[in-house]
Amino acid sequence: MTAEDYNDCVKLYADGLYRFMLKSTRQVEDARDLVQSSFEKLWEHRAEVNALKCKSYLFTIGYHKMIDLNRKNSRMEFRESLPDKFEAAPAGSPRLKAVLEKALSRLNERQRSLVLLKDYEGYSYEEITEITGLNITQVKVTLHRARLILKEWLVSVENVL
Amino acid sequence: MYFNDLTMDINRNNYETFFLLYLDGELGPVDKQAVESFLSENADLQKEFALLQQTIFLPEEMVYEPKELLFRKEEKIRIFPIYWIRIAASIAVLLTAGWFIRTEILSSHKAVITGNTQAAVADIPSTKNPVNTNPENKKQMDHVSSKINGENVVQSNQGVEKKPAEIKNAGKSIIAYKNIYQKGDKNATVKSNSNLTKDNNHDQNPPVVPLSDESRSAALKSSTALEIQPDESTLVNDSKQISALTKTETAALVIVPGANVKSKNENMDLKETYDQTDNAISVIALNENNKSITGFFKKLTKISPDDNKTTSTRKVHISVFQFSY
Repeated sequence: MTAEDYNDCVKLYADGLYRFMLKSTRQVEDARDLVQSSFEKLWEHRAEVNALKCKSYLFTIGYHKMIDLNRKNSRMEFRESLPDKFEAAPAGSPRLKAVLEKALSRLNERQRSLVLLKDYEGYSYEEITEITGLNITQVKVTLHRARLILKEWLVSVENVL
Repeated sequence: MYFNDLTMDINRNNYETFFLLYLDGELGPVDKQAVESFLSENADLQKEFALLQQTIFLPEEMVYEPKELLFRKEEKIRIFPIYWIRIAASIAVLLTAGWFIRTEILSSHKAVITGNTQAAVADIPSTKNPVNTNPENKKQMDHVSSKINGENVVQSNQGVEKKPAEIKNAGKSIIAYKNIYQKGDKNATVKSNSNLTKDNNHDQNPPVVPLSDESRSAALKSSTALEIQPDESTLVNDSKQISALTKTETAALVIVPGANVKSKNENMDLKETYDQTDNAISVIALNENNKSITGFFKKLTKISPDDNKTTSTRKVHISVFQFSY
């Protein structure tokens, strides 16, 4: 890919990658650093990357960088504290959104990443396998378990309310 | 591409997997139709389907700013011709050398000029023959008359015959005269009369003075009067002593014959070496107070006599310099 392709990639996918990182890490600075380092790596390897696959390449880099960062920081527990800006951008039903944000913290790192890749970025199971390195059965099982956890959380909240 | 790991039809035991695959968009048209038919036939499961549907996150708009941090430009590789590299290297070498020389000059608080082969030491004449007396300053002032290779340099404008200086073959030794200025006159290290330039301009032509062969001395019309206290002179034999000397004294005068000075021991016969020239004598004075170095170089040049003449002539070339550091 050329420098122009790279800059187009920035325009098209920087926001999405940032959203994925922020939802995954819930740390603005971590998310920004991960986005920056991901694009830096894309720039370094631009000669080997097909411009049509730059999004997949970016998310693959970003996903693994995020996993490495979490391992490095031993941040396996998901922080529930959300930035104000982050909470101030609900979509759809605000109440359901808030409940789901809470539910997201109930998921483990892999489940959370796969749900975000599936729902936010619209990746298919096959594409998620390429990004995460998991096989398709692992992707399916992980996602289904995550959905059931989220459903159980929604049911329990409804019962409380 | 759809998830094709389904080997059975949807039923009340496996409907959850079908529902999730349906919601994830991983079912083909046939399986999707089967799920929709199953839901219409099993109304009690529609609430569970709705709950699973609510677990899907709707995309949010988030903006990464500023994207300018991420934009890049191709850096063009500039190819310089080889001759430019050569020129650049030459300039770098010159600048480095210039800087080194400048650093050396500035860092040398005590200037010492040494002969490179042999050095003779010029004696200072006694103080009974003052050459130039400053009316405002009645302290006795000395002048320098030196004899190198059997020649005298005399302050002819004063008409005073000077005591010939003896030549000492001191090897590489030099003689240093301390306190060459009188106390209270801290600005002067070497005083010269009106015939010598007093400014710091080095470009002025040095005076040329004919010398008498009979007296075998050089009449130094443009003489230099130095305020030297001979009794405070110190013979120094090595650089360490000079260094110690100049560190403790306010100023120092170093008289050093130039290179190629021949000594008595080498039986230098002036008459037989008319084509030769005397060597320069360097006199340098340091002044710590105003951070200046003042000195002059004298060079005797003998002119070979004509056949009809019995005498030879000599000329004295004097260059005066002064610079600050």
